[in-house]
Amino acid sequence: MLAFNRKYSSDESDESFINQYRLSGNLEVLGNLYSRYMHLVYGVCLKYLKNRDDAKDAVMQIFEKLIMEMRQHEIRHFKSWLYVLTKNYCLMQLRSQKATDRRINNYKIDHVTSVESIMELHPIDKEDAEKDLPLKECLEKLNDEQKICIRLFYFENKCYREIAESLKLDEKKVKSHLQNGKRNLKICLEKRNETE
Amino acid sequence: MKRNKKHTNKDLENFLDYSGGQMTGKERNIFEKDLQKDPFESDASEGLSTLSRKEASQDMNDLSSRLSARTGHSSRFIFYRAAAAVAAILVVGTIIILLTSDLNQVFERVAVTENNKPDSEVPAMNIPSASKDKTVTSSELKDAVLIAESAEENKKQTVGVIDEMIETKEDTHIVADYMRSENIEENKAMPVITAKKSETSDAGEVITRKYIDNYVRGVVISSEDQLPLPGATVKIRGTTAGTYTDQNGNFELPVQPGSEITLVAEYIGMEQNQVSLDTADEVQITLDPSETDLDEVVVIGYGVQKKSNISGVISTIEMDDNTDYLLPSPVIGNRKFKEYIKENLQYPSYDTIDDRNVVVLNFIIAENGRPKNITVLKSSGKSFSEEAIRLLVSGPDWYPAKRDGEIIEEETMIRIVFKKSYE
Repeated sequence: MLAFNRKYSSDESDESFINQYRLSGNLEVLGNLYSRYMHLVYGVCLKYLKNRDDAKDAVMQIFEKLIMEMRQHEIRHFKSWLYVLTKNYCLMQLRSQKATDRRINNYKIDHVTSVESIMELHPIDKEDAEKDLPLKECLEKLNDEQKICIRLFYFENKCYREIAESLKLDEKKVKSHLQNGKRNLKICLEKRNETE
Repeated sequence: MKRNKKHTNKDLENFLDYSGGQMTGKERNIFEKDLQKDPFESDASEGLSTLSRKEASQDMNDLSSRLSARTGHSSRFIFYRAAAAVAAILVVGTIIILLTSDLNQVFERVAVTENNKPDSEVPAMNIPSASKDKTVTSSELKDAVLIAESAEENKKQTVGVIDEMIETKEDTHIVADYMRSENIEENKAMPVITAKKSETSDAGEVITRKYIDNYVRGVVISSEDQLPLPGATVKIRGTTAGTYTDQNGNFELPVQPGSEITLVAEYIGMEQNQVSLDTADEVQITLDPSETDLDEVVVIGYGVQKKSNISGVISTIEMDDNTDYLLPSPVIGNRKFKEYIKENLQYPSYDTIDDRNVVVLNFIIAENGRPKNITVLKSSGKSFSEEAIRLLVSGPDWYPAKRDGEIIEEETMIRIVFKKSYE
């Protein structure tokens, strides 16, 4: 089984698992696909639910949800889709814990819609971002903290911890600067594209 | 059953090596760059970092067996025939796993070019020209009419007034609203100045212009949507002079001519930003959302949008400076209204995976104290606007706006920021 699984997990694409599952309805196939990402699902559940037992239960519940959803949806990008499913599940959990005052929900819960948006790769995460001139120009327009964090991280290959130490910032702040810097870069690049 | 353990464990190993500090700086950077590309792995990494190596492998083993129990052990598939033959080795499965070498390649890196994100194409809400509505205090305004006599004197007084307001700041929102009510009076009174100006001599006009030149004007906007932020604080660094932005995000501050100043803009839930400028000019300050404080609803900003402002027509109603004017406001008070929103908000989580979502509603408070003509100026999604509208419609009564003791139907605006709380 192990010998086989080695081949199974590295060679077979997610799509081929999905197709097999569609044809056979064999839960074991879906289980194999799921276990590829189970540690990620578990990690996300831990992040949100902050409790090992709750997170483990959630991992199993999400698998049940997966079985249901697989029947209803055509899934193209399994990993991204699973992420949205996982995150939404956790948020719903948190929400139901919180809502002490349960009024009637008169808005419908929509289905997962934003899979595509999380798959978009930011220009700076692409290869050779350093040679991208418009990107560099936009980088110049960022505020100092964002600029320096992005430079250190992307061009000088420093990790969060090293950046935090050299700038005497919290690691969280470094991440925040990176994230905000990236968003501002994107806005800047989009503006450029519009004017061109 | 330890199916697929190899792959799962090895990737898990990577995460654990990272959080356990067993990577060099360079390796950490490579790992972090991968996380930057993949929000799934990034979130997972945050969660997994809370576990020790031992806890993590216990939990994954536990989960694997629970999953196997759920999916059944049947080996109906062709693939499994070979597997059946080595089933006996399963006991030592974990060891063999370590021998298998190719570990990566399992995750398909997602590289996508096709999609246009609709969210990012929200048309910028007609950011109004800063000069139209003046953010000056009303007392300053009284003086403004007298400007021809002493511009210098006047300036000092203005700064004094603003100082006082900053010092009495207890609750940003309340003060912000108060400030805004001043702004409104000012808005109405502005035409008076204009009218006066046309009647006065040339000399008077010059002084007036000079006075206005000593202002720095600008707009504070949010970087995530390029929309103006009403009620943001703008201060001149190193001084106590400051103001709040109006409903269109505009502000105006008196400055010493020729002096070099740094403006500091702040807004709840946003990172502070500073802009230095040597000449008093129009300036745009962009604030980034803050990643650090997560709370379910953090920000409610009120603003009043005058009809005259919406249509871009400058009102020419003649009015006394001491007109008794009251803004629409929640009967229970701003603070309690904020609490109401906080307590009753049901987070619509299914529409988006963003951590921060903003809805801006524009509405009229009718004579009966209820909101009507609600329009969505901005929203992160249908379920967010619906929730915001629900809260407003089923929420407490408002005092309608009053002018000279008479009730008038006035437009107002509310900005609700939905933030996820992980606590």
